Amino acid sequence: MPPKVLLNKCDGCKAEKEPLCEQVCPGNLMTLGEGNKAICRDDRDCWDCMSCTKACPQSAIETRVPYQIGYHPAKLIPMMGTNRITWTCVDINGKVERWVIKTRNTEDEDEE
Amino acid sequence: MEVVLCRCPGAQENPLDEGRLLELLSKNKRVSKAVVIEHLCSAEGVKRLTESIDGGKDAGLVVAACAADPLYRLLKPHLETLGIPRQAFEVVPIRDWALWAHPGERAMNAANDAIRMATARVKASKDIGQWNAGSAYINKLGCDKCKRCVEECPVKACVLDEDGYPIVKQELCQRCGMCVGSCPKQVISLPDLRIEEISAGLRVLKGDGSEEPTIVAFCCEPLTFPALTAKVAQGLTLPNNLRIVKVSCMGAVNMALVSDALSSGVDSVLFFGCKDGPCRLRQGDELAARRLDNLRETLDRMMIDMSRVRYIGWPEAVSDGVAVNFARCNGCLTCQAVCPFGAVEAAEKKVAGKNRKVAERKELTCRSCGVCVASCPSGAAQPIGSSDRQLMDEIDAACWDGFQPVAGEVVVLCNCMGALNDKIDFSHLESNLREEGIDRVLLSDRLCAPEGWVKVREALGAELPHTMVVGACAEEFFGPRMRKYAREAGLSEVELGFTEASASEIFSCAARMKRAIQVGQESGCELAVCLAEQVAALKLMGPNPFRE
Repeated sequence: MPPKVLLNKCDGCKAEKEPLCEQVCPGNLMTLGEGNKAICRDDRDCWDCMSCTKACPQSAIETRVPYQIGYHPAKLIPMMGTNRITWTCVDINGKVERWVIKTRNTEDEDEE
Repeated sequence: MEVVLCRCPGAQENPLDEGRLLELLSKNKRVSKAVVIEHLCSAEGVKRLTESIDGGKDAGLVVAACAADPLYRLLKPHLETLGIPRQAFEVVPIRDWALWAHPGERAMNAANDAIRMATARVKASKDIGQWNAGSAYINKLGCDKCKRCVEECPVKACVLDEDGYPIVKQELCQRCGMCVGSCPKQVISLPDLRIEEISAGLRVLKGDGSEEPTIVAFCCEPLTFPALTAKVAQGLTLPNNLRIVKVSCMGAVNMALVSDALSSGVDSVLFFGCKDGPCRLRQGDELAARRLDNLRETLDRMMIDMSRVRYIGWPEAVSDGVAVNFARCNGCLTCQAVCPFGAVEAAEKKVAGKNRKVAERKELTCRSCGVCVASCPSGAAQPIGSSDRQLMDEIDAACWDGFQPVAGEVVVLCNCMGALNDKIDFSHLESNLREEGIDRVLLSDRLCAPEGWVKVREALGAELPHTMVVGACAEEFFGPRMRKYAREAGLSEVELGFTEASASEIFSCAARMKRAIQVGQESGCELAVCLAEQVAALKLMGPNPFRE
């Protein structure tokens, strides 16, 4: 399912030639569309890697969870930190699960 | 790294249980050595510090003391001899953030937390070239060329090179930090503002295991940090697990930091910044508000209560500025031509029955720079808090010429437990002051302790003066506590002016206090109410979902 761009949050990366979502999409599917907002070129070719969702500085992209996994209201949202990503999964019943995944290979200095 | 706890010399009782604090610090794996050194703000104290520190591979120094900024400036020149790299040094204002803000039992936990955050920041510090750059530093390797830093730099110091990567023009960079806050890849840093360091500090916050929510409050250096410190000195106590992080401006706080804090279990992140006031350093408040709106929308979608992250505006006392005497103003509008901030507007005012064109100041825009005052041909513009007349009086007073004290002028001198007796001839100073008309000169041996002020209060008797000049040492170190003890001794209605103990300085200070134009009241922020509401709301929300 294609990424959904929240038009009120997307600022087109200030209408650069290559907004961040376009830079990062491995399938070359994201681009600037009408009104200088991001848009996915081809819905069916998206393979839900969520790179655009993670890269967007405004968190303006939401990926629809594929229907084989979860129906329409289900959500999977990443929140980017400095060395971690915090994932929140809301399933169709509204149950919430969260994970914090470290994205850097530094030694864990947070424990004392 | 080493942690040094400072202690006031001859303190009658230890306000903070040092033994217990040292014990807690010994459990901190980052700390190799924790000691107590007396009187760090003196030459002997610095000498003792130099002897105690052995630099070396993992050198780092965290000093926990009273006045953080003056002590930092005092110790900075010695860093090289100590073998401590610039970025591995921090001073934690233990007195303000633990003793005063969290009185009683909570002080120990607050002190330990504050020091832990500092040790985490120092451990994460790394010189990646920002100190040599002296300005904002961009790590090109991680840059995505999104150009947000270029967009948001208020002085256009950030420009693009031929490849499309941003570079910082050092001569223009104001080190405001807006770029640091804007970068979605967190690759920009200032010499004293590194996202990794602040993040490391935030991640060690665990709270005290009680039900009190853990709150991180970002405070800005020009306004809310000193204002909050002043409020704490006046008696404001902060909620149990509230920890302060100082940044250059709200616009310098990167949203990844908020994300890190929340994912580590911090219950709430507050931004204390300016609001509609003359500060608005580089419109950091607008940038922060915009980024926060974005983040809150994401939090909402993530089923995290949006009000965990809030921007609290600090209403500034708009008492600075320029006062215009409309009777003198001839409407030439030279001030408007020279004002760098566009703070002058032409207006019609009725003066002596006739409508005249005069120049008015826009309160919120005026930055009290004084250029209009210097340019005004008729002398109609005067800066509030410092008039030409006052400056002349101060100069006169400094030359001991024509100083006319108001009846009831009181001067309090401190001799620092006798230590200043061989440097200042107090009896000579006292007789000079009396000759010039100061009728009450009080001598104290310890104004940096509460007992000193109790004795001053007793000596003043029933008749309290309106103003009092205090001739003591180091106002920047001891000022806040002197004001606090004076207030506690019953002298809150008396206005205090601080100066060094010499006759000319005392007269200058007295002249300055006399001529200052008082405008309005200090607009207090209902901060205590705001914080209490936030804590109550957080308790209703329950603990941060990430803590489960």
